[in-house]
Amino acid sequence: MSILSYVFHNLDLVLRLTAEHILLVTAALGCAILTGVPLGIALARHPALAAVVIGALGVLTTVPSIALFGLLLPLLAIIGQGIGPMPAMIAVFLYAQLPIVRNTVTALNGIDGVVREAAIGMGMTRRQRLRRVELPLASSVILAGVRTALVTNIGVMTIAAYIGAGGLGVLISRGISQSDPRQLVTGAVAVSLLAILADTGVLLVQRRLARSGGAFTSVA
Amino acid sequence: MISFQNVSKQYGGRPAVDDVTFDVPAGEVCVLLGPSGCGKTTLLRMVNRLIPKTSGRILVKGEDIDVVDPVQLRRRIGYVIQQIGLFPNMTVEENISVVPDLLGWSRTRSRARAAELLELLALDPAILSRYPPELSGGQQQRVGVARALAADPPVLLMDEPFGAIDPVNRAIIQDEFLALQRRLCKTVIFVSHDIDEALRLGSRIAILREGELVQYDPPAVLLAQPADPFVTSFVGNDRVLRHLRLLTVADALDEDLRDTGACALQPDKSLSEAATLMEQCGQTNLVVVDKDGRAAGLVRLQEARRWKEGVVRDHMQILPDPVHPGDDLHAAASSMLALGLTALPCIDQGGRFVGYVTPGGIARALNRRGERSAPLAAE
Repeated sequence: MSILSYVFHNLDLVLRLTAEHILLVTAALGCAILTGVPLGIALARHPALAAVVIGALGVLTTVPSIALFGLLLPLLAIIGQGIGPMPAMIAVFLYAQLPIVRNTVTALNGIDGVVREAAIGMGMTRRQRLRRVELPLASSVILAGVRTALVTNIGVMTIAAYIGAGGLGVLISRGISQSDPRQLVTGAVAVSLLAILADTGVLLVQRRLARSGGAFTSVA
Repeated sequence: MISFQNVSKQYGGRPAVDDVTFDVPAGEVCVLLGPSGCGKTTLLRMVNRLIPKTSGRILVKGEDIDVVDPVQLRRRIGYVIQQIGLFPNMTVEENISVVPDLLGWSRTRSRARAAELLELLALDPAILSRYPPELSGGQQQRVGVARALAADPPVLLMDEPFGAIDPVNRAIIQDEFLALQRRLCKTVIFVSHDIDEALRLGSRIAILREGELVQYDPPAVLLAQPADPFVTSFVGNDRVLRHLRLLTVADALDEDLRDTGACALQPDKSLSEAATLMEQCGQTNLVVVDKDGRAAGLVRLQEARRWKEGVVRDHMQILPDPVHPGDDLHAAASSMLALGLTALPCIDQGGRFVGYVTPGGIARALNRRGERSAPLAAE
């Protein structure tokens, strides 16, 4: 009960932090998609290189977020970005690469060779093939990768509060340091709700893409 | 229209296609036929440059294909493959419109063309908004052909396009293809491993073995004059029977008996007259005609001799499935054997008796088409 009254009395704070959280994750993830998908497209044609790159990204993902911040902070301090959203966004950006790149490569390579042969035989250039056939067919699986990255990184961004990034983690960190369970619970529940909403939202989009004829309709 | 000049393809040391030279005239269907690994698919895919050739030239409409941008070349050539390869993320309409869109046609023109092609291929217009996985195999195959024809290319490349269809529907779609080709007169290169399909659809057949062109002739010549033992065995021991499929009953109507008055009888005549007439004509059966010349039935020599006192009308057999001059000679020959007739009566559309099909007539027909000097079948 006291938690609800806390929320009611601090609604503007909670909403502001939520908005900050969403903004940080979305911005980082947006950049990750802009680099990850083209990287995946390029790697799809070179399986040996793809294995190496995806392996490296996999290793990167095993580094715990606190450790990654620990590595990034001194580096970014050199250019005066040691505190604030930058280290957190870079960390999220890096973590998001693996699911996006890997799913892009898998999705493109999973397209039936016959479809590709038909596309080439009919006179499509490589760009036309990607735009009109391969990417639409791969979209459902690529989006599954984005979904994984999104949900995971909503959590990672929580820890980023400790290095001054802002977001809902602020409530959690204050709740711990001030021994205030109301802030703690509010923060934790808010992050969970955000993750669930994001997951469901992207899942719905994924299903719609798969239904409109995407061959690769597995929804991971 | 399409010219292969010393075309070769090497993979490592082994030639997949070895110095192949031949021409496909405009409007003809050239079937590339041979056992697997003979290079027929490789040769086909060199025409639209999906496989680069090692040496030689290929000319389409007088133009060397190496000179043209491959993407532009492919947009001017229709391509149909066995597994069809419709784009699952596009509707039927969008699939068919792919090449027109690539060529910059207006939306209206593309859509109109798609509707036109569906009609041409006897497909329900309702499928235009459906996706490929929702169609049956036969429908998908036809949409694949429609897609290849969309931009009205002069040349069609078909790689075992009917291979994935069950035998019953395959015969139907082959007939439809023939009808379509009569209408559109495309220049077609068609890969097949099925000799019967080749004989049915090909204007000319190119037999390939281990990359080499062994024989390139129209079906009748191939059957009558196989170039070497390989072709003979590939075509099959029953090549004479296969040859019959290429002929009609009209080709085989016996000339000696063509004077129809001579070997036909009216129902009111006596059986002894029938027997005498059959002995004169050298036949073991005779057709019975009414006064208008319409065939009413058949009488056999055995019956006539047994019931000497009778009248033809009381001892005649009903004519089996009537055979018309335009019918397939292979089917007529089957009837002859099944019924044990040495002279199968042929009637016209009005039911009038036209002539007999006899073994002698069939042999003459085979010899004539095959242009051989020695007879094909033993007399």
